[in-house]
Amino acid sequence: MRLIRLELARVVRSGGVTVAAALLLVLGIHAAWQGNRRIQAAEDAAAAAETAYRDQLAHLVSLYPPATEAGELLYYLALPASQPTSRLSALASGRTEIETANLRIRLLALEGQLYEQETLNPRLAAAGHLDLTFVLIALLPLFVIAVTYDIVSGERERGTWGMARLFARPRRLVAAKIGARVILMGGLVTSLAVVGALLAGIDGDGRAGWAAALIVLHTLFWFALCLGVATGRRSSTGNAMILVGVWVAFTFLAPAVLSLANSILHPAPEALELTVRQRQGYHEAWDLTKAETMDAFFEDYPEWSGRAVPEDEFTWAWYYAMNHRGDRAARDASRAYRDVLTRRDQWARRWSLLVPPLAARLALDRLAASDLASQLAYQDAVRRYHERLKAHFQPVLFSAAAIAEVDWEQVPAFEPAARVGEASQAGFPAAAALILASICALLVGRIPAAGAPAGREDGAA
Amino acid sequence: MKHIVRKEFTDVLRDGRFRWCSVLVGALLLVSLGHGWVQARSAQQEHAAAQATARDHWESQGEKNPHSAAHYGIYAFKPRLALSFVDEGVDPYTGTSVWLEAHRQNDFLLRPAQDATAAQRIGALTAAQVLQHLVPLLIILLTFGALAGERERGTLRQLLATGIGRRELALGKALGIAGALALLLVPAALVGAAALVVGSPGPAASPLARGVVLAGVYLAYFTAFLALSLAVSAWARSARTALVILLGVWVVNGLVAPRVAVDLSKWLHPTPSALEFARNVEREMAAGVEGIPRPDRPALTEQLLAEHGVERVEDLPVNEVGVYLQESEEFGNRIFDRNYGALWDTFERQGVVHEALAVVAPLLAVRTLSMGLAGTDVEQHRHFATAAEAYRRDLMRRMNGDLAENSRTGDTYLAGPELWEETPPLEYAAPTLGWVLGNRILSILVLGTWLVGAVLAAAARVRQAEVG
Repeated sequence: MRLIRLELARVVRSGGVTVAAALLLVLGIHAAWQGNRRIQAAEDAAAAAETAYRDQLAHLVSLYPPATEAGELLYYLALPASQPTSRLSALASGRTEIETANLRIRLLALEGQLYEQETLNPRLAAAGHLDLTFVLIALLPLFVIAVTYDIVSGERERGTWGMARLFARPRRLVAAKIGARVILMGGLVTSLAVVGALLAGIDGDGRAGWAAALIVLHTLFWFALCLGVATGRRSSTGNAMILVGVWVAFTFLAPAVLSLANSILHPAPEALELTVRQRQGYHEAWDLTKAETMDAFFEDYPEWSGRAVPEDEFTWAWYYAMNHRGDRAARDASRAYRDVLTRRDQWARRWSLLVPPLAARLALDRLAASDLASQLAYQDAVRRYHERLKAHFQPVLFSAAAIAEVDWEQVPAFEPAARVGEASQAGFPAAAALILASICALLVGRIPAAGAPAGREDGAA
Repeated sequence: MKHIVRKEFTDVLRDGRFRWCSVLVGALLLVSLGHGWVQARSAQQEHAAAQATARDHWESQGEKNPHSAAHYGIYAFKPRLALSFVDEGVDPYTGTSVWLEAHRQNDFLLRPAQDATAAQRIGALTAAQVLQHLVPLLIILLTFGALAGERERGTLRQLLATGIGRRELALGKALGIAGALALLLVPAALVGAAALVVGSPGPAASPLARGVVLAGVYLAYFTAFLALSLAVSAWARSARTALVILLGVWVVNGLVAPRVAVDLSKWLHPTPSALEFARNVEREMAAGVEGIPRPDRPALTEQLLAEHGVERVEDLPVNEVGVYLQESEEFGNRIFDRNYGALWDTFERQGVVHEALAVVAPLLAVRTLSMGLAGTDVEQHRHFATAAEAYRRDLMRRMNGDLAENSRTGDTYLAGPELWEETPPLEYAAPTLGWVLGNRILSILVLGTWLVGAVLAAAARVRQAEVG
């Protein structure tokens, strides 16, 4: 214990460490604060969408004479479909910055309305964002490397290893050195986690626990890796280069290569097709007889079959059936597109286990419901909502009911998507990968004996 | 000095670790160039096919009321510029196609970022990423020990004792390392140039000139990094310290600064949320804007009747519906110009924050210039979006004009294929190199300052370096 205290004092005294720790702390607090602001903004936007709906409804109802057909009002009415933001997305913002979780849905064809995005400057989207996950998963390892790479080689190069060896066995010495640094890092991570939790709050469903466990395991993984490398017989510069190389590989190269492979294996050209097909399906209907359009509609909604519409006049029932025809034309392409995205998500999740830091990052996004699968689940929920709205208003449209005859308070509300998977389902594989990788890294390490030679002179060219 | 250059050069080549690093970076560079090129080409072909289909649909829509045709609309595709395979820039976040239809200015669709898993957002493997991040890292690894290492081993004193000047020594080392890097970068540049010449994926907007300037930008960036690394290597007490400092610089430059720039520019120049934006447009559409009310159909009818001195709309020489539709279109355009214009302007102001922060991190200047030269920055996206919108307005004017001129109020009027065919397709001319560089003067200045500053710092540090 005394050894650990001594070591801790030594680490803290070195100027660089203090500066780096302070920088990390500042960035982390900034990230947590930004995360909190994002959640606030999303909640405000959801409230604003609700208000906008109320205002619009009141405005339309007062604008039209009460005898106007409800179908006309429904053409304009945009209903809010807001997915509540998870608290954890302050930690792992994932896709929340580019995707909107605040769609407003009209009764028209859905495909064209599903893929709205936030009005984020594309340049900012391309630059990436500074969330707490980035600080903890990408930057923190560098700090771990910076305080650990020379724990043995540094003493050896200064010629103090032999002397230190007199006070304790090498194993204990190294354990004390690592222990001191783990304590330091633990303090840093804990303070960031506390700040994050205080700012953003915690969902009370065990997801925060998994997230915390992943972050701790991930930090320990880097300690194990540093220990494995640092106890070898290389020079300090050699150690630093190897560890930075591993970090670059895990943080940049492996994710980039995996995503390249993913997009080659699962090409998704259907994104464009969807809207083209939907528009084509809708517009073609202008040239068809109304009966043809209605028959296609009745195939999907047999409960209405037989409700003929007049050929020679405009009816709202037919107009919305035409919109349905657009969605119907895009249906296969839409499913295929969604399937490709699901496969991409599953593939990335599976293969990321080879790159534990990436697995941790993906798992955090999943826990925070800011990943691709959660976005798809939201789109599905919006699809269901659209169907419920259709079912609700179909009688109104077929009976050509007037605005005054509709109870506008009874309009169904959006039911948010359920969370994708259990918390443990998201967290466990990544946690297991991190533990396994840590053990492997530790096995590589060897504690050098006292008089071990300084090893070959590496580093300087 | 020649000996020093040669020695440094062969040292680098002989060191197994560097050999592996260089081979890795070189392979990544070639793979990303190749992949980018294939992808850009297939996207270009896909778009050409889709564009042809869209045009075909437009021309073969049969007899139709011009206003129905206006609703039917047409797709416009942003052409890929030749160099977009080097740097995809903001393209994954903007989409490259837009639907042009009556009454509304649509956002761009087809944003591949939508299809991406989180892993893809972390880092796409593009040549620009390799050049902006990995090559500087390689430079650091090659250079950090150049002087500090010699000093640690005590060989610096020996070298200087042979009568060679400090400046020659440092310059020799720099040239030796640069030579080793050239083995990696020159072939990549040649491959890139060959790809441009053989089959540029996009239309020609002076691709070779853009390519040459792009190569110059990266050369300046690498030289600045090399000089900076040399300066730190001369100044640091040990090779180890030099390495840690340089890695810190690399992290701040490549990882921290760009993300801080994002938050800073959002804070200085906030943009409305998608919902707020849509609401603003809706509100102005309903209530009128700049003192101009929403076109009022009965009032317009009165005015037309008075103008032509007739009593009934049926007697008007024009179709009142066409006139009204065009009025509405122009009213809407005013609102789009206000709102989209303000949004684009905010985006550009956010871009200036990035450019200014390049004072702290040269990467930001390089990124701006690289995207600009590749034709994939926000400004050139706006350039295309503006052209597409101008085309949409022309299209709507044609449709509404045809309706107004060739039919009378109350007619069931159908226009034929002649009208669809005589509507020209969108011809888009990408901006010139001069336009791009003119927009980017701040970045050019900052990058130039970094280059000069780093070289001067290296010279000064080498002069004052301790011998051992």
